[in-house]
Amino acid sequence: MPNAEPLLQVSDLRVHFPLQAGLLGRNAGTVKAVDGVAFHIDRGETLGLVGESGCGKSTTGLAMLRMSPLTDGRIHFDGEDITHPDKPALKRLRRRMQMVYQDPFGALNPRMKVLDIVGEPLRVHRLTQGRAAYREKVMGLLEKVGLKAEMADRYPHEFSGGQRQRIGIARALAADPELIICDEPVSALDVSIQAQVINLLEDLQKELGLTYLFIAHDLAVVRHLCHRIVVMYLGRVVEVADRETLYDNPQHPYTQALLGAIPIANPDPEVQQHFNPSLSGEVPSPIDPPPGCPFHPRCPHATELCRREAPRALEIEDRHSVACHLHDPDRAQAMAGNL
Amino acid sequence: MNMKADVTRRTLLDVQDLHTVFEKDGNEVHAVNQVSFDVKEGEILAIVGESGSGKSITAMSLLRLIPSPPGRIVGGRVLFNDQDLLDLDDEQIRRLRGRDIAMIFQEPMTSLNPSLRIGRQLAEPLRVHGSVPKEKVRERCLELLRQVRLGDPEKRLDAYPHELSGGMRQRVMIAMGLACLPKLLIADEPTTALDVTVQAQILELLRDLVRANNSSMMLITHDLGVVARYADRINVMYAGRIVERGTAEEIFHHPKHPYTLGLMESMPRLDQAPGSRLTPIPGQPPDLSDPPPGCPFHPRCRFAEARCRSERPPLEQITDNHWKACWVDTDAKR
Amino acid sequence: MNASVEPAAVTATPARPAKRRKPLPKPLAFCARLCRERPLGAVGALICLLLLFTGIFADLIAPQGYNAINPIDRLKAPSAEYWFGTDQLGRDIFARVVHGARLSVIVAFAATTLSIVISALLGILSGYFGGRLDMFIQRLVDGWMCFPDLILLIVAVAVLGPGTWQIIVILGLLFGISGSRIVRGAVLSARQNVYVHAAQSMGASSTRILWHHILPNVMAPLIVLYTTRLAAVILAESGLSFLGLGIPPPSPSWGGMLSLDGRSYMFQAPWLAIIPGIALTVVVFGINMFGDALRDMLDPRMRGGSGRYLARVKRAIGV
Repeated sequence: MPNAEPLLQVSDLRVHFPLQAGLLGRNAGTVKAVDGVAFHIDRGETLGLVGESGCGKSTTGLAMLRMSPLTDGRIHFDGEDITHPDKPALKRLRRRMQMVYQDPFGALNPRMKVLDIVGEPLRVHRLTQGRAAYREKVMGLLEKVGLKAEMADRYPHEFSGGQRQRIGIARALAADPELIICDEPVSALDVSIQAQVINLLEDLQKELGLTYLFIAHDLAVVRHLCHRIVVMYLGRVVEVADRETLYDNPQHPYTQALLGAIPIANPDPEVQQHFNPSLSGEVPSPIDPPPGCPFHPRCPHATELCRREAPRALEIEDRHSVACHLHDPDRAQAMAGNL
Repeated sequence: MNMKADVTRRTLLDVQDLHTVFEKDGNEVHAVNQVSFDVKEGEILAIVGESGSGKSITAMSLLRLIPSPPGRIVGGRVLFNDQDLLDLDDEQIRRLRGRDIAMIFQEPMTSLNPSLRIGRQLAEPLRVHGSVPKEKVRERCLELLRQVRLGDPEKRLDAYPHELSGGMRQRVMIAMGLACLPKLLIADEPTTALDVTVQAQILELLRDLVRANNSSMMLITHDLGVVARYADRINVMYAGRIVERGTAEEIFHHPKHPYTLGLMESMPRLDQAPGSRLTPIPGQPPDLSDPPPGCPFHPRCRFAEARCRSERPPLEQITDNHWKACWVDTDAKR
Repeated sequence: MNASVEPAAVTATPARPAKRRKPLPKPLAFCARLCRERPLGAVGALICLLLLFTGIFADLIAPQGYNAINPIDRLKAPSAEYWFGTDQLGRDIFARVVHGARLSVIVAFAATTLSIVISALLGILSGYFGGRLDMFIQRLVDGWMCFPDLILLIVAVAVLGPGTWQIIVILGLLFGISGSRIVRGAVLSARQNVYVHAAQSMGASSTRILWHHILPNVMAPLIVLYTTRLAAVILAESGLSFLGLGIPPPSPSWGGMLSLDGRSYMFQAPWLAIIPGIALTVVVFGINMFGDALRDMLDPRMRGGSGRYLARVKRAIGV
């Protein structure tokens, strides 16, 4: 896996939204939703994209599907540049890449039967010939996600949240995609149902060799499901590492704070010792974010340098990169001097 | 960290056989079905359950905040300081709300009136209950905002809700809840809408303030991590009933009810090695307008026996600090 | 909790018989719901049906026609022979009101249908495609709506001349353009649905998305718009006829009856004004009630419901 060409390669991605005010559309600032993000996804892996609200993880996911306008950067999918695809290329792309949504209630059209919801990609891309083949394919998909084939003739409101999420997954599978972008696919579900969907995603990956981009804020779920994790803060990537490395040896102060703030379901004092809610403040607005390192207003180690200059992403060990001046050998002196 | 359940503590709230039904499409939904529990003075009691388990309805029933119709409290007693809240008339219960028992809701975005300044809203419970002389209201508001560690309180008093972030708004809600120093604070999913790092700040704050005021708190949540950290005792609810109750140690280290066991196994946990497969609870929670006979959990239960399908198990005490509603000895069968 | 066993019932709760009634066919079920939940709306629906019936069968109900002059029976008060009395030319007011209903039905349905088509076209173009097209259409609509309706109507009648089809075109345009805002709003909110996003992300074409995902969401507001516009069109037509800008006599427009004959003989023969006035009031009331009921039943979001959460919170803190 490591030497093969990645399925998806993103470099220096920027998505900025101009804010307009007044009648003449005067520019009133820029929302830097994604501001210089780079990562890749290997074939067959699950890449986690985590961060708190406003960190740009969802916008990044949408940019992969070319659903949000790009300000700058390049996206390569399977070696092909999809930064500015023409119409047929875009349609091809949206067959090979599919999306699973957070909201199991809103993501399915309540007026359509499951048959037509799950089969919509088949219709859009004309993948089956004739009614019978279409129906058969949809029923096969339903069974693949653990539903009964005869449920095809029901409407979404007859299903529970977990079942609807399965329907959404079946729809995403319909066009035989290679990459599935999962945008918080289990965060709206109850714990007992969450596990069903997580297991399903794992099974499907094994069976079909799928690649997932898993966008989530629940770090326990991400740790369970993802092979590699990208931590984002305010539109930037702050740390990328394999699962074990990230959870056992987080290096960026934000990652450390984030992991420390998760309440662990174990009342033992030893376990609870690791809980460290010390991080103060909240994520600043992505409208005109702070200069320098975006995390500096909340960072316990922030120095003058951090306020002035944005840190670069550096690989501090194999497959582990951090964007923090503390870990930049060229900046170590400046940091030490100020500490 | 968690106080041991202390038998010597006085009981502040004693709920007995609370039963709330909702009318839905001509069917009766037993949202809260003969629920009994108590809250001791100074403790943090958690009610854990998934959506539809009846945990929020339980909390709202205590203060008689059930929208009626379609909801109705059909039975039970809610003894607060030995007075049955279900017997009070509307005026009496209104005077009690916010003064003796306050409630904090989930959505910090919609719980504040967008067209009124923070100071005005914060002062409302104080004015209504007349607990502070008029000229001291502003002073008390400032003090409250300082208590919830909202920076720059003078300025915040004159701000409108949209000028505050989600976490700040939730701090204001907590300040409103604590304004009259209630003896019991009911927090219904107080941090669900917030980011993890903010959630941690808010929960720590809530616990500290409740302890400082010597109040009790009923924490209603679906998050077992939150429960493990903050609760002294835990009630696990399923399908409108309490299925297990105990101290935090008991519930997390020696869960006895198959549902609680299932929750623990189905949850990816940060305190255990990753990679092992999760064991989900099969099936779906029951439709409460047509609940299964016997134990409401039996259709999803791997231990279910013939008796579970016909007879509903009562909530029975099994050790000093542990109750469960289950016929099966899960330890022996595991 | 001191007792070791809860006093709760130990035995199984007896399973209640599943009392799920067999569902009625859709239109019937809707009527039943209308009668149960909105009795006033049902009355309104009845009035609408009566109007439709009267309009369609005017020739059978009043076979003598609206213009049968009978000089001997001028200005007769309501009686067994002339239920609603007669006017200054001895014409039977009952017959005129009945034929007036036909005119109202024709104008109302034609103009409203035209206005809905215009609203839907403009609203969907503007709301779905957005961008410059939206900007352009919306500024045009703004410009149109700057002028008071009455001025537009008077100018249009002055240019086109009075007559039934002119009235239909003018009213259709007038209501169609202002109604496009409502359709646009519905389209904009339908576009927010995640499933619309999902359809886009799987490469579905605009036509497909409009047809399968947007249009079904716009249907409810369109139906509601239709009923409310009906009443407004009937009123507007009467108003124009009252001013002498509408349908020219001897056609029995209710507004015209009120104006020419009604005003002149107000004191000698008040029924000349009262009868068409009542007809107008009842019909407009009926349509409005029916429209309101439809709106509440088809589109619960438009019902006043915001602030309920706030109210709950306020009760919780005892305010």
